[in-house]
Amino acid sequence: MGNRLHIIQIVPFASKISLMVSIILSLIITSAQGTYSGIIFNFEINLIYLFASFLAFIISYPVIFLFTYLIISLVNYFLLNKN
Amino acid sequence: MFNLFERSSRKFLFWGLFFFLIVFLTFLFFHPKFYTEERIENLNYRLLDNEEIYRISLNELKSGDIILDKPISYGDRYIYQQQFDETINNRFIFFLYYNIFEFLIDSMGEGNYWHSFVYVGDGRMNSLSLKGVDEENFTIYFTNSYYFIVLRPIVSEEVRNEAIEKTNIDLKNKNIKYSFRNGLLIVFSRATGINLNYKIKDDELVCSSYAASLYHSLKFNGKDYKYATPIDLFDEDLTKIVMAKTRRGFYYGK
Repeated sequence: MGNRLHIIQIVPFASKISLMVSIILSLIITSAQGTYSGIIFNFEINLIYLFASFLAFIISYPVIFLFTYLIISLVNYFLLNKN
Repeated sequence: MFNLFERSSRKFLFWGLFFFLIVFLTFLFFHPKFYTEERIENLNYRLLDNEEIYRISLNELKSGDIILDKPISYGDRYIYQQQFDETINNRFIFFLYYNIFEFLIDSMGEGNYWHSFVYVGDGRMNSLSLKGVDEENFTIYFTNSYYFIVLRPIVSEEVRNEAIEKTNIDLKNKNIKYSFRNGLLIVFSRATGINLNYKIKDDELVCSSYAASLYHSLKFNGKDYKYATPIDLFDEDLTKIVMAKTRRGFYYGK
């Protein structure tokens, strides 16, 4: 059991996790196509694909950050010892 | 505690500002616009019960009509969703889907319709969804759970029949894909007014551009069918409002 984290430590930690998750999720969402046999992924490398990924990123990042922050805070509050 | 001379505090400040910058960009591009298309506002609405609305709708619908819908509420949409066996039925996924989708749709303004169907007759509607071109029944559950508007394209019977034939072939062949990327870019263009001028393949569409593709000779709001959003289908010169169920009541053209 370690020390409880302070908000000053949680925010950068949660941000880095959210950043990575959001970038990967954005690339996946942008390449996803719905078909009869399920979702397929069609990755492309061009400016429009990158721009669409950027749009997906700015939508997903705040949501993922809030969830990550909440989870870390809850783990921090309930599982880590207060020293 | 917070001290600008400490590395951890500077990191906190940097990531905090980064978060607010992203939130600012999200609202800059996709801020909600709550205004309604004048043509829908000025209709002569009546207050009818749900069964009457369903009965009249089914009688008045004509093959080839375009149906735009939006859920009445979160609960109505969730209950309606439960009749289908899909991943989205999961409460957590549904919560994320509903709120993010609503946010994106609201950014386009003017009625905020979510999905476009084409009525093919016998109580069936075709649309492009995550499962490709798919069929759904026009049921009383649909009319109870959704606000909807029925648009009748002003075209000859021949063009209308061709559209129905094409969507039935697409339903059988399953060759049209629902593209998340194009959906996002179309919403962005509509929400900001920025025309990106990018190429969209004929088989990578979204629900509204698919409905427009069935009447590809028409230029909804002067656009190529591939770039059409639900609200673009409200073109005064190209479509006639036949029925509308909104929060003000039910309208049908009699």
